[in-house]
Amino acid sequence: MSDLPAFTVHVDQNRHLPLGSREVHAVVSVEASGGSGGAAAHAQAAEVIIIDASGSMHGAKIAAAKRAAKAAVDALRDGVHFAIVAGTDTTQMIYPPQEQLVEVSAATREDAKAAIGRLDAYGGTTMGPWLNLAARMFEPFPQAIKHAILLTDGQNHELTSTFDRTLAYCAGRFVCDCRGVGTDWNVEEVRKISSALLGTVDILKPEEMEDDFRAMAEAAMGKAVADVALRVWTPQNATLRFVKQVAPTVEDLTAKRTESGAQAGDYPTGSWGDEARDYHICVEVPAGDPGREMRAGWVKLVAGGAAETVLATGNILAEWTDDEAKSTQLNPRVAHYTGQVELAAAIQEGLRARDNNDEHTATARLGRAMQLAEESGNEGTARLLRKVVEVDKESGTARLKRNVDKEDEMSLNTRSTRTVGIGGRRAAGPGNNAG
Amino acid sequence: MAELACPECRAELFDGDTFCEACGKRLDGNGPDAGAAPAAGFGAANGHGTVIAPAPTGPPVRSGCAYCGARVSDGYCEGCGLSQPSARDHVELHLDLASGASDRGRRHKKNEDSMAIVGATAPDGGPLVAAVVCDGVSSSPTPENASELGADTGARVLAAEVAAGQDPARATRAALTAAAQGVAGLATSMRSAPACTYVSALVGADAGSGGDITIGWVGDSRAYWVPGTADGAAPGERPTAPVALTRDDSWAEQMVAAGALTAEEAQNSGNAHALIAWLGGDAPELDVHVSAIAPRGPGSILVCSDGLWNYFPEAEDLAAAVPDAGADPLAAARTFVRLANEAGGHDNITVVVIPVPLRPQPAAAHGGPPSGKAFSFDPPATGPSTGHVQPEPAQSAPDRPHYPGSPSNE
Repeated sequence: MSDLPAFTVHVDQNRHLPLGSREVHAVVSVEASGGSGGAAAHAQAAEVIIIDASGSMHGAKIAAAKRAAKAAVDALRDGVHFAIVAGTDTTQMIYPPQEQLVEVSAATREDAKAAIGRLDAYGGTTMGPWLNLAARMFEPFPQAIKHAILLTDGQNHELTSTFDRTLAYCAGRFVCDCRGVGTDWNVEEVRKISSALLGTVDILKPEEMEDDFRAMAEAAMGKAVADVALRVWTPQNATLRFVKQVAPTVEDLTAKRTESGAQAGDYPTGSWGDEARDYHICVEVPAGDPGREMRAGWVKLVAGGAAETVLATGNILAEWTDDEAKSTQLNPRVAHYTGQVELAAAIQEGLRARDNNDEHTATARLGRAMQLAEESGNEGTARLLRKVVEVDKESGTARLKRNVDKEDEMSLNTRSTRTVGIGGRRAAGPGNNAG
Repeated sequence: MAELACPECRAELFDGDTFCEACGKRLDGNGPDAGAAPAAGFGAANGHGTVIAPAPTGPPVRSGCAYCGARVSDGYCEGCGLSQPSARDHVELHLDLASGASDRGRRHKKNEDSMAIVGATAPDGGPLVAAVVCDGVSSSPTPENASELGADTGARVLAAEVAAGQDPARATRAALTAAAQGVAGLATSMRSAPACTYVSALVGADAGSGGDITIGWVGDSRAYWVPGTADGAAPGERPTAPVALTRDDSWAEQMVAAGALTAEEAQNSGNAHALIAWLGGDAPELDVHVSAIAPRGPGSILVCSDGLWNYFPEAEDLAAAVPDAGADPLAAARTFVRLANEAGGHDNITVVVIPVPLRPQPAAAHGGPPSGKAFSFDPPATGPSTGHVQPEPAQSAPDRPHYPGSPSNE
């Protein structure tokens, strides 16, 4: 573990609390750098590509999927272990023939692409076995950075309880990025996989697949350290209200806590390459006397395994004051990300209400989402929202659009969790922060 | 993680520990071990006084959280999370001829006040005391550094100048100017300029018998003359009235001086404490104020920050709060701090009490080792010496104690 990337932790907060106040908020920014050049190139890695080969994939979708899978194989570096799986009601090895990973070389790459070329679409969709097979094949590589790509175009035909057990089993064993093609798959269902397996979810058109798969494989190759946990210590008699990833996407990690010693819990963050992620942490602490300062949270990035390594640490502080000029200031980043989280929730709630023909709630939530997206400079989300809802510039009244393209709606849902930094991605400095 | 152990005592260490929790050994090779010296630059470290609480001096000891007793790491308790008190939270100086106390109060996170007391020998062989109190301006960065440097520089220069034969008023100006230059030098830019107030008192051997007591100030820290009780006066002497010896460089004072507001209206205004002059890189042009009083009769000089005088603004209030403060300066300083805390402790509280006439305090009055209270008067040529630290006998061991009236023959 000598080649770890350099991690930094930065905490943004207003530590000043009014007297008697107990809730402490902070945005914890984690950045890893220097990994892609050295550490990632030498890291042991394993990749499984799972292609939905159900009958509905027939035609342009399976053709695009095959091109995409080949592009991903080309992006794997020599020495990485990999396999390609076709998923239907059951699973079928595309490459290698046996249920195991093989080492990437010029020869295996060509063999794999030839095997992908022979893939046909037939049968149904049962995703549990796909993930179980991936988990089984990753088993012999405990030290590796393990990543899977899952592509589907349909809904999972499996008992929810059975599938939930599979997800619980796979969680922590590998990271899985999920992609849906067409409009017959269920965003909530696939998001459940990506959330449990710490990956991303997105909707793709057939023509976008090849570039996207290549990018996913390249990103997986750029990972330098696996199984990094965000360890949060809290004081006695404190309650950790929530731990949410808020950038680049919203992901609530609160329920993923595993205890890690006295007053501390670990929240999984998966594997890291050169990248930055932000977390919003809220702790409720016993109120302190004026002038008293408390460490309300002690955040550590911990690389897993037997040889546990603390990569970086940061303090979330609380300080009680009767100076209202200090205690009433909202930290701009905390306020901004609070708005971004509300934006994601408003979109998802609005779309769910729309599906349930609750036009009143749908209009209110999507209208609010539009306001939040525009105020925070989240232009990507605002653009997607405009295809579903229109807001009258004069009155501010929101109105749902009729005849919304199904793919537009699914794009909005899928990408609802994408956040931007303060003032949008391009702007620098504190801008029009929400909240 | 491989289990780490302290190189000194083999106690278990945790990743990121800067000090061994068991023995206080510094682990990163930077700076002294925990417990070997109190907070840098203040009190004991500069030889001006004693850091009495809460940082223990002497052999390192295992120290738990001041609030719940649990392990402490990086200054925070691993149980309750509370930041541990700083060595500056409460500081006391006890010299032979004067004492002071400085306290965080009850509302502020840090104690940003500083005080320094320096004793020296006047050219005529008599004792003299130079004392300075500085109050760090909270809205400036690291105000505690400004106040510490201001008080240190001021007291040292003031004592040295007078010991070298300088006129007291000129020495007072020179000391304040040197302190102002020092504090201004802390600024990294106009927008990042540590700042503080400043008040000095210079008390010589003839104080109380008609000799001048000289005060210098910038800002709103104050000095007062408080007469002793009638019992303390020599036959035929009548105690003078208590009186403030400074006039604040504050908005409130300016309004009152201009006749725009009554004193009460000004003090009740939200601007009452707005300074119109201070020391710092962003300060207006230095306008040193000097005053003097020449009492005939015993009493004491109080030098204090607004954390005290806010609760006792009139000289009579201070005189009534602690009658005959000069009889036991350390006890008086402690009482003033306690009273200000009991009244709310809204700001840092600092007060130096100098008895008039100057007289050495009984060595065992406060329970410390006698050598720790030694006070030496060096020949003027070698400059002033500072009061020694109590209770740190090691630091005072090299010096032989000398007392007023027994000029050094070294």
